[in-house]
Amino acid sequence: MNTHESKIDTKKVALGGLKGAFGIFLKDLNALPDEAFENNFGGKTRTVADIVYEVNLVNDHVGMVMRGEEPFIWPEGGWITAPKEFTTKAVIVKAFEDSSQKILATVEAFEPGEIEAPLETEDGITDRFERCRFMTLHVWYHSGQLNYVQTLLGDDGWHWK
Amino acid sequence: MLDTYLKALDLCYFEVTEAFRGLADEHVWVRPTSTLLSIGELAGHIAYWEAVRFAGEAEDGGSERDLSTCKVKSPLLDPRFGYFPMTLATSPSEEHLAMSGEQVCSELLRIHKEAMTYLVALNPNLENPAPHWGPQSKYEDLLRYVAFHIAYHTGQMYSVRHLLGETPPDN
Repeated sequence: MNTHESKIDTKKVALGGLKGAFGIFLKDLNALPDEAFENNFGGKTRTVADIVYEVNLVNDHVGMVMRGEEPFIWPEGGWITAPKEFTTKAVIVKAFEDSSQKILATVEAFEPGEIEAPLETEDGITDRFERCRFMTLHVWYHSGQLNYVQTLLGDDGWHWK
Repeated sequence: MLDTYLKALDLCYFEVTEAFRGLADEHVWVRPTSTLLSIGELAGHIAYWEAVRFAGEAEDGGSERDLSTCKVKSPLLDPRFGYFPMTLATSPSEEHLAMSGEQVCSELLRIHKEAMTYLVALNPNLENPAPHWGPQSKYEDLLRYVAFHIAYHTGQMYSVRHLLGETPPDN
């Protein structure tokens, strides 16, 4: 049997990747103290609030495209920063939970064929499976950054293993 | 099915190259604080685990952490990069410190390419248990974890650049 050519269950793989990434990210968020969320370490780093806001924005944008909605115009001009109301740990964690649950519900609602069907985006034709892979990797990148923030605050634990 | 994960790894390494883009050579091996690894050390850590998992050669034909039997050779494949506390406790070698950002990135990509050659030749059934990866874990789980591992530490490379005062276009 040539495993290269065996059929993949794209919906299962897409959902598994997203659930895993969201779960790790949420555990790292919950492990951070309240004061970490607006700390930019002397102006050198992005805050946790900035990171979470960007993750949510990316996922919300991709979700709209996947659902066939007209997405909002992506804010150009540098790194994404969190709005003023994005301040407390409770607000930020809740926003992440809401955003990630919406993406999972979006993917759950598609038939497997729709996950693989061509999808038009502003960057060309792709498919929903590729978009899910992109979101998963993007969340993973920023999970690593949450871990570095934890370490900067003296926490060298491993919160998602 | 393997192709699905190879594409994910390709995407990971695209982002690795972005994380190195414009990196100042004098920052490659600098730890931003005493408790955080440098970009070069993070690259060594990614390289080490990809090489031993896919090109490490144990007696049973599976992967092994023993670099002496690893089929890929590189200065970046060094036991000091295997485990975070060990990396922190050991400074990079003179050979490491002489490597520029471009050299580290190129070497990391070469290691990945060679490791993938061995994986593709092995052509594992992704439903089968992955050697040295826990009794309940399949090759598919291992490949998903490797993609996660690369992405996770790539994000940290950006954090190091921020902490060292760089403003890379991506973040």
